[in-house]
Amino acid sequence: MIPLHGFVPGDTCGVLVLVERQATIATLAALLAQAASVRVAPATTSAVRFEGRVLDSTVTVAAAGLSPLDRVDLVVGRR
Amino acid sequence: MPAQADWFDLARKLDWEFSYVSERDVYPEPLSGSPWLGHASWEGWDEPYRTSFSEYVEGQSKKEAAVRAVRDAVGQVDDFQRHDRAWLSTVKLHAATFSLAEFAAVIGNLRAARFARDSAWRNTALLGALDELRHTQIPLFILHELVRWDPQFDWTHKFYHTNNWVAIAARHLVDELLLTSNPIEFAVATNFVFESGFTNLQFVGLSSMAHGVGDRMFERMLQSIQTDEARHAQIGGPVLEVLMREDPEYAQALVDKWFWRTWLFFSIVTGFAMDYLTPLEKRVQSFKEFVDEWVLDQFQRVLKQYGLALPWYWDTFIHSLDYYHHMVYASAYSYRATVWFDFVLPGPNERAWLAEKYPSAWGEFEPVWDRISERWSESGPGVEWYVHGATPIGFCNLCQLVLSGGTPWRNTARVVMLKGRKYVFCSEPCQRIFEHEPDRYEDHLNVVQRILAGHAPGNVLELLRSYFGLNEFDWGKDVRHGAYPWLGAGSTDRNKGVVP
Repeated sequence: MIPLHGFVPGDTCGVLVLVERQATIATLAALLAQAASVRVAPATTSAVRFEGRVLDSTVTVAAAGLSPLDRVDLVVGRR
Repeated sequence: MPAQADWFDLARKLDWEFSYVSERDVYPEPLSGSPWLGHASWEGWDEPYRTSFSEYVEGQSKKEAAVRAVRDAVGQVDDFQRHDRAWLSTVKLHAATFSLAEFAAVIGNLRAARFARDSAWRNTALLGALDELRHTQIPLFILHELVRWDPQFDWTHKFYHTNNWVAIAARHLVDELLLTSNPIEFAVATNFVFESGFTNLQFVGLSSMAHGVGDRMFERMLQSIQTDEARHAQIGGPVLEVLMREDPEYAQALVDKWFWRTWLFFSIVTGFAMDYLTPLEKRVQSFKEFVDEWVLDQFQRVLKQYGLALPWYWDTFIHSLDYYHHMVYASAYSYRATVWFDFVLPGPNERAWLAEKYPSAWGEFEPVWDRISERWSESGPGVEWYVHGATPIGFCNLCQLVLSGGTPWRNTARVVMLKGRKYVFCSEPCQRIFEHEPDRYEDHLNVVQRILAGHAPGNVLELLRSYFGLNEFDWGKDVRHGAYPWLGAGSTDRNKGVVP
């Protein structure tokens, strides 16, 4: 498991999500949306951005090169 | 008996040359501060408000009597019970964060009373220490009686002794600002920036709100403290004058650093009170309007007077006036069980007022409050956990506060590698302050690092029980437990519930 600083568009703070290294980026996106769901209604579609690039949702967290305490941003399909 | 004018200058201004020790030994630089200058550079130090010890004691005695009289008349448990529950959270928030911080200021003033570089400065700091001791004791005395009615008031004394996340952040600030700083940094940071820059907002602005809600006790307490603050805050100016002459770059760096650090703290403590916790019909001005009136004009004028520039992040600061305390309030509302005071859900009328006061920013917060209201509508009243975050949140490695910099759509948090270690900062000013003095800050662990190091549990419920020092009796809740008349079908449409 690795901890990541996650940010969801429209939210008021960063969250700390724990994700399996072998989990897919799609799973990470779902975790981020869930973590902020008290304050931000889940979007219809979403992806994850890291260091300026949108990650392939089918690759694993490890394969995407994410390491503990990196910043990841949810990219949502609205607005 | 000679007239005071005949002996006063001799009493307040008594310095001499040392014959068997050096001046540097009597006033070593680590304790007296930098730049280290011979006394000749400081001998012109002059305080605008002069008072003898007997005058001081007489004046303070009268103030104490006035506070006690108000307490006897309107400061009992049944008096507090009559106040709005949300307003009482203002009292709880201030009492916890300020009472023992004032005691830390006693230490800072006493260090100046011994190690400051001119006798008049030392005398004034000694009276400042006595002031701050009084400011510690007043809230402890007045609010102690309330503990038997409401355990959240116990945090007046308990707060700084806990590892609650707000306490970790407040201690990080207060330890550096008040407890450990040398007299030069203390004078610029505490007396000039904190007390001259912000306490008018705190003690005049908030005091007027206390008057508006009919809380005579809190109003009197704030006013009584303010009269002391106005006096000893004057220590900052004469110190800054010397610093601007001898090392203006350092003076600017201190002002830049401490304005930002204290701004974040004030924005939360006072912003919450003015824009959320005060009942709408009792609000005098918005937090931003108070800052405009009591901070911006005055502080910019004073900076210019001393030849200082605006802090380099001034645009960021101005921008944060519209956002920062709103970001933190919504975050804290959704993690209210992690703190010791209760929160109010802004209803349609409050949100209409906030939209009017913050026209450029409030639109970004509407969806957040729509969502939170929707959760309450789904769960019904009393189901606090359905409208509460369950995932840990991130904290800044400088201010130790939640990562709520920027806006809902552009959070300014940044992850930075320094000396092979990863740090996260909520904003550019926090990052640059840290990078300017890494040795001072790098070993302090924020809440997340404590969780990862195994010092604190990762489960939120366990974290707040075993580490934040809270239990179901004193952790924060919604003041109405979600039972708002306007919540219900269609209540998330803000226009439907506005009561004319």
